[in-house]
Amino acid sequence: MWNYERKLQYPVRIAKPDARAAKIIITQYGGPDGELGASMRYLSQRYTMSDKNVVGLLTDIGTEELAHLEIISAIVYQLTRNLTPAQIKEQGFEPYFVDHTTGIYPCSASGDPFTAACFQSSGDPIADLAEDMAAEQKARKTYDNILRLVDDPDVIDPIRFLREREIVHFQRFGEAMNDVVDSLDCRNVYAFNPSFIVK
Amino acid sequence: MDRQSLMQKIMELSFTLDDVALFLDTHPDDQAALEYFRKCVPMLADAVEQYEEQYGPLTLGSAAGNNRWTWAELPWPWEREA
Repeated sequence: MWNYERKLQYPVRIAKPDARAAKIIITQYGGPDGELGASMRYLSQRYTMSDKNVVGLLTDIGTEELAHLEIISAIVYQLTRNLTPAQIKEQGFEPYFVDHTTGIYPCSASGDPFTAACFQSSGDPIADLAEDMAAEQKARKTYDNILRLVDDPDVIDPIRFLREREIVHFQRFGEAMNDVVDSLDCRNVYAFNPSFIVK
Repeated sequence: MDRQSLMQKIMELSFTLDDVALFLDTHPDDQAALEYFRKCVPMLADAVEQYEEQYGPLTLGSAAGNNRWTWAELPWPWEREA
């Protein structure tokens, strides 16, 4: 189970509302490479992971992604407070606003609602870990793109933190992949599913 | 220590544990990391105790005040004032 700790993993203090930035950053809440998908991916995959230490890693990274979800929500929430109708129009926020006002809703920057179709829980430890490594790079790519599009230091700071975590997670999943491959039967040269086919 | 500085300290120590835990998940025998983790745990516990005594609860376990439920009294973490 989980217990709530009344704090963010990294502080978010944004002085200036910016609906245009909010509309792109929301994609890391509910978009294809976002934190919600990341958390659900790792927490779903852990049950059939073959290595006990990697089950622990999936649990801990899956939990940290929930903290990242909260950081993204805090950024979007603070960017959309006290907006005037004129700002909503000027900053291109009307399509989101008409559906959700300034509620925080998991969708991509292009408006698609969150879908579990953006990730897999394949029951195959090698396939899952390969996906997890790719997922961290895809999330890092989205943060890099966000950093190309925003210029407020209050926004850049937490986005940089989140980007750095993707790099650390990629490193940890790479180590986990090596451990799982090393544990295979030496005749299993193509690294077939160690929890289902090879006992 | 004022509330925001103490919260900053809690966030730093708590994040340290998050990060070292992931390292230990894939390096369970790393003695230096184990020692570092063990050293930070009581530092975080002390900072949390000090915060909850002076300012308010961080978890539900500390939210039952003398004559009032204090869970919602401070700004929520996603508010700028937090």
